[in-house]
Amino acid sequence: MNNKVPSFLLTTQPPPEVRGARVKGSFIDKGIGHISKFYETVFLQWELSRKDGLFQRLNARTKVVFLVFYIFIVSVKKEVSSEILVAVFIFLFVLLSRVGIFKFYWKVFIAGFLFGVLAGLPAALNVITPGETVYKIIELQRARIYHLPETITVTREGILLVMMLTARVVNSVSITLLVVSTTSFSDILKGLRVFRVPEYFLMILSLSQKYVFIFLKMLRDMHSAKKARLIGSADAAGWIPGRIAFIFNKTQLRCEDVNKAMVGRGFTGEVKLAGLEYIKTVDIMYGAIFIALWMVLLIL
Amino acid sequence: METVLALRGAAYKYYEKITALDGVSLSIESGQRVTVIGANGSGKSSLLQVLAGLMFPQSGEVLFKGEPFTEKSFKDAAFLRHFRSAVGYVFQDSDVQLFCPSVFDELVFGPLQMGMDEQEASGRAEEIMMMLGIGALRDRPPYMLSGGEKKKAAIGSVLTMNPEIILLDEPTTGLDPRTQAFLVELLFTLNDAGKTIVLSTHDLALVEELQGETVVLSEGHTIERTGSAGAILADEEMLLRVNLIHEHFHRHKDSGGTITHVHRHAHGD
Repeated sequence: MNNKVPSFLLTTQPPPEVRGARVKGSFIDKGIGHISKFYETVFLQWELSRKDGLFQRLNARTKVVFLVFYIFIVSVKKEVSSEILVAVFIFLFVLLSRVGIFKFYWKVFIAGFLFGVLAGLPAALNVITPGETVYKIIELQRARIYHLPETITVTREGILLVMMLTARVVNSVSITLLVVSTTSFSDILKGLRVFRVPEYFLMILSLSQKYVFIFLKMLRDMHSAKKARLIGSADAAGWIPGRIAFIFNKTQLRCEDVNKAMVGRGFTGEVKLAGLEYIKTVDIMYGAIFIALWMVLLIL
Repeated sequence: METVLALRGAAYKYYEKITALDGVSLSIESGQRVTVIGANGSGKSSLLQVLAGLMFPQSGEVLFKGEPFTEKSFKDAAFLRHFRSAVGYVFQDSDVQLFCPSVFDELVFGPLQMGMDEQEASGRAEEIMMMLGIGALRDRPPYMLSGGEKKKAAIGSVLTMNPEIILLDEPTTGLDPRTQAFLVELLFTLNDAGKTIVLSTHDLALVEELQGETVVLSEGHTIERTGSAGAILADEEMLLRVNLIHEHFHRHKDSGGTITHVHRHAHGD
């Protein structure tokens, strides 16, 4: 076979001159950077779930039941002191599970600040929670707006309400994060079977999670392929719709192939998934301790 | 020897327009080692998927142990179970095949669908993982595996079903030499144990290594020739015609001046 090589390929061209200062990263670059970060987070979470800690040793069923029971107790407690007691126990569990304390509580407190302090802040005012004035904010000359009091103040009852809300958010997030960080995704799915979640649903969740990874990898590869041939920035408005259509088509084809792979291994429409390992003595022991603690917290 | 899988004049067109198979007839005997070779797009994957009952010919017949089967045959639970446990298919793209949350789940998926109890399925999975050297990857999600590990997990997911016939679509593509050697050795072991092995490839070195019955697909999607690996590899004209080897020119100088050589090279050389 004779290759007819175009003449320009047989010469070496100097690289094109580009004027201007530094090349700015686009929003797409940043988004792709987040994808890499996502991979890293998932990997670290998986590594953490393999560590030799208290929660890692437990059966997923025990952990899922623990999660539901403790979220319940966090929701029914009406005193900030009780919430603090729950938080102390969770802190001990986090320590015993060898979870990185600083990273863990950083995430918890961010959630607590956003969904507890910020979301609940208006409730600290006498506009929503009347009560004993702690701090006077503003005195209105005349209450022009219907229902507004003449003086807007921060009330003691309001502050307690915000503290309560924040404590509940912090505790709920830390319990959930503890279970999620110390359990692999496959075990969480299996643990959900305790609550009779249909196997179909679990299979769909599993396939969706897998697809997220394939989808992100595809995005990252496409972006790298574009970047490798680019000087400066490309017309994102022209590029993105085309790629969305491409991904849509590719997804459909992959969907057909995955279905074939499932059918090839005996899938008939009725899913049968592997169960969890049997409950061991250690699970029963810790289960009993969790229930005992739960009852103590409920009474206190 | 019993004919386990056969095609009689099978034809298949994607979207009823793009021809993948055009009147293909062949027989695969029990315990045989068959290699289907052909250039890219010649219909190797389609041929294997038709044999695996994952695609159905639009004309012609496909037979399992002498009995023709169609898409309707899989409505019969007894046939479905018998066929799926007897015929295993390993996809070229392992990502397609690995859809469960962990390697262990992947390996027990097939046996559980076949109605095997969980304990037996787990036992099989553990043994297969040990054999393939992927025991350490037991709880790892498939997206955290390397290409070679994915391929081993994909093969393991089929082997736990202990099929009589194993169809492998370009199994060595993208694998490093050590994993390729491991795979070839595994195929020999399985074949020695009585399993029928059918694989597709365009790697002639693999054909030479496996030394089995060889089916050559032409770029016209028909069977060009079948025969022993030795006879097929010796037929250079035919290999050139089906685009599995190509002629290559190169020049070098010796004391007498410039000499031009023409060599024939196989794909992958």
